[in-house]
Amino acid sequence: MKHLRGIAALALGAAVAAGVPVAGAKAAPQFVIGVSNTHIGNSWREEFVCSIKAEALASGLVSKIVLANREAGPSEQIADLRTLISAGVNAIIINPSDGKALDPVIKQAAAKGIIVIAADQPVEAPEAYVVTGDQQAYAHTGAEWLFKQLKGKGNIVEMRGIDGTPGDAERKKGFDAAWKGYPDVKIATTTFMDWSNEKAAQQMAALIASGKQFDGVWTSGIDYTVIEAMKSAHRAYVPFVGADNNGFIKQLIDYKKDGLLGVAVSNSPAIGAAGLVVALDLLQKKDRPHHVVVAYPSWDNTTDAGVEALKTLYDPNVAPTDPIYGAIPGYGHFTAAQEKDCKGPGE
Amino acid sequence: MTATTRADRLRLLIVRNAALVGMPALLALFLGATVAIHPEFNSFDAQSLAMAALPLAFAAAAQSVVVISGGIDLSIGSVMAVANVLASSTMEEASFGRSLVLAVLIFAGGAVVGAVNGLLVVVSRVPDVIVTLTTGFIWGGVALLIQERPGGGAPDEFLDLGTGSLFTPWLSNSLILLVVAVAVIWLPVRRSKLSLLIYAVGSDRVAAFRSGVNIGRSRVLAYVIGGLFSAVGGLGLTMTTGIGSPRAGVLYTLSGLAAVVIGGVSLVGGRGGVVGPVIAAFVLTLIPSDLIFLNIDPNFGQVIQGTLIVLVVMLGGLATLLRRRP
Amino acid sequence: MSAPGDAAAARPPAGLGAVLPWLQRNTIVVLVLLLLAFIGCVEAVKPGTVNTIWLSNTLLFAAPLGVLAAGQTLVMLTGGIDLSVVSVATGSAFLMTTTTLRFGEGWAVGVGLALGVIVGLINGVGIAVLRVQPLVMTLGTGLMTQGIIIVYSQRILSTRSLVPEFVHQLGSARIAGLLPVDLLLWVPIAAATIFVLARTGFGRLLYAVGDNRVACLLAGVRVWQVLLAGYMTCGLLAAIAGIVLVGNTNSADLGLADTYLLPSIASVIIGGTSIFGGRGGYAGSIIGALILTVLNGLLTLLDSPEPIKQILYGGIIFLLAAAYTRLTD
Repeated sequence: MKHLRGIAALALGAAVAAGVPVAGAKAAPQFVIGVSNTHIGNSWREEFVCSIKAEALASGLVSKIVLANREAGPSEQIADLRTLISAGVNAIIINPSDGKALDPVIKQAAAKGIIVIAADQPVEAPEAYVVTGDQQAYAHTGAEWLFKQLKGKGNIVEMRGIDGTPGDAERKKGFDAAWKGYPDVKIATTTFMDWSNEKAAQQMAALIASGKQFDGVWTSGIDYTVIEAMKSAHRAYVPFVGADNNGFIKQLIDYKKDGLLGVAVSNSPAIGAAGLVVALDLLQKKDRPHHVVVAYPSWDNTTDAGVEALKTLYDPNVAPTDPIYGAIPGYGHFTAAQEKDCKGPGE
Repeated sequence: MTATTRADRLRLLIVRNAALVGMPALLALFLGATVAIHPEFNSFDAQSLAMAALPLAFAAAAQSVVVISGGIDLSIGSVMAVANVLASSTMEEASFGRSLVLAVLIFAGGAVVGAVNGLLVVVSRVPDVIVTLTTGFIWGGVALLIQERPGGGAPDEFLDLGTGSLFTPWLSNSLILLVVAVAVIWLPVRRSKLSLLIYAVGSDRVAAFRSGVNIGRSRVLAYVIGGLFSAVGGLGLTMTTGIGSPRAGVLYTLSGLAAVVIGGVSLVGGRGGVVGPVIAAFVLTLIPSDLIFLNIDPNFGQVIQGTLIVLVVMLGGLATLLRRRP
Repeated sequence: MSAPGDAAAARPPAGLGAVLPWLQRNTIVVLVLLLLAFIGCVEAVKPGTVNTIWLSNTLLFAAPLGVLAAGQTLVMLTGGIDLSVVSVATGSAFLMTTTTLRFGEGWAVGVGLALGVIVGLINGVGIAVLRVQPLVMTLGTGLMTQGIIIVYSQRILSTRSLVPEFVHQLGSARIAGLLPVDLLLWVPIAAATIFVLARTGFGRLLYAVGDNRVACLLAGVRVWQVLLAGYMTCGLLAAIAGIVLVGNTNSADLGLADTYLLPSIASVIIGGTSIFGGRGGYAGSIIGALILTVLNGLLTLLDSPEPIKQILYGGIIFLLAAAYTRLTD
């Protein structure tokens, strides 16, 4: 029996090597994919775009990526989307700057037969497919962990993202849902760090300088520079909620002995690639639900097993504020190396 | 009269109206390049251009009037944001008629905001750079107070004023709105004594003062006109995006200033017009989409914008220098 | 940007004449009182806040602003302004962190500083040689620099960026837990700036050019050299400020110095330097920078919503500038 399996494997390998189409191999129609992202200088968004490019390359189905990647508001994103429509793309992956403003353009794109995917943040337009991480669960998981660490009592700092964005609004819902169960937890201060490393660090430093008392920190995914700010101010560590950023993971490993307890809740930027996976399926006439919600794991350093898990995630060749690389299970074929390379088809 | 040949007169005509001739030529050049890059250019693209350029064109118009009067306004973007969120928050459930009334009120509000800026500049005697930088913060905060997060709305007919096309698909309503606004706000001024005062104050304040011109009032009025343009710009944003965005204005202040410089208005004051910067706004708007079509990083657009400013002013400086040499 | 009635007579630098030192000391006194008043507000809003740690933090954060203000003071004395300092600061920091692994720490810092000098050179050529208006020239170079850095950032995505350890120490460490290390950079720069402005020919020329450019030209001064040196120094100082800033956050960020534009100009204005040139000095800018840093901290303490804080920030800075203009007119 062993030999039969081995021979079958050899035959399979030979067939593939000979270029014979094997059952399950993809056909090779060539799709043109448009991508619109309106926030740059942010490693999460950079990996978002890179994950799309890497998946486009790995899938073998994409001939070209037309990229509209610049710092912009709703008005400019509308213009960029119109440019993408005009460029004749088959599908557009959007990270929307607003949940409502893009609706007319999305409608126009759909009318021309273009598949529109809103990835990472939702849009209201019924013509678009939405692929998001479970942002409510993201906030809920971290908040729940934090409140339990504080034994249900204390003052916390709530560091949110950009006020008004759908992502921030969704997370607030999840946060509030968890908070309901812990009435003795008070929020010492809420800040909007706009998902900026520098701003978050400044806000923490100002907070420490102001002498305001706090027992725990919940952040919407900017963590490394905040902890560095605490370290530089010689502020004692408190239970901390962050995301799966490389530097934060290292801090959880290294500073545990100094009293840092924290949880890294994944918010993988490879949600972009997930959007592309859904788009490619739809372009190949496969069915997909209108709203795909992707579940994310989390890791904390409170147990030894947890620390070991974190050690496997840390990559010394990735910048501290970058989220860890790699595809979301089930939603991408690319490797971490391809994502780091950030090259789409034809580059 | 000295004997000037036809050629001399033609040359003088071109030199005197350089901006008026140069800017449309530049726009034609860029449009030609766009069509070359993207031959499928059709009415959809024309509509895209008009809609995208609208807010910047108004920011440029507002800035050019203030600059001509010898000042500068670094709060234009914030004022646009205020108008934008005022519209989106009040028009959400309104009827078309009511939204028009609100628009007129917001338009008038722009004049008030402009007056405040101008009065602060004139009365405090603090340099306009500082004053408008700080009022930019203040107006930005006001916008956040009116509407803390993006949202709101306006009746479809109102939105159509910016996104529709009344006559032909090639002529976006945005374009009509732009022309009407410039005609209503600037033309009456241009034909009146106020325009003379603004240019005089901008070009030589001491001489104007000695001629009995009320410097303060003229400068304030320039800021008022700027405020009117900014308000229409904010209303335009409401039309083209359908929402109000309290932080939307940030990009338009500096880009508007870029359009002003490229559009032939000297920051020294007293020279130039409104049309040049408005056309420059269209040129600047074409750049990012052209880059996307060419598969080049659209962020190069910012490099091009900055470089254009540097080149335009350096060439201008060089020209002045050479003219002075015997 | 000239103004009628700006009849402020040429003010020779400190050291000459008995009236000026007293006046200068007088305005410094006003500024110090103002600073103490703001510190008092901090204490009033949250008693117990003002202690040595708070002081240490304030100085730590004021240092980069102080360095930025030094460069800005130099150019404003000549009647100019530099709007490119923020892009240069961010750009230099970004260049440094992304070239450390490739070129080594020392060279990386050199690359960062070189950006400041180059942009300053371009500014200087435009303003000094071609007589371009400083505001628009530096606006253009600022936008250009920012754009180049953004495009560059899109190219180097896969390269790991690293802040050199000594820079990290410079930007965030404290000696004996109290004395910020970046003061060891700021204090010498401050001393050098004050010395240059008060005691050297170059300093005197900066004042003279700002006060009456034509007179300088007639007197045979090579005005363009003075201005060129001024803008190049400003660019260099902006680069240094950016490097200190990134030492503090320990990660390169395209928005690193964004919030520093208004404060860099306001510190200088509040500090007593006239935007029209010829008047002022760096000592005032130092206090101005401290005042603004304390103001920032004060607003963080207040529990008011974000929009109110923004309005207060703009409003208070405006009032300070207006009050100072009234005081010195």
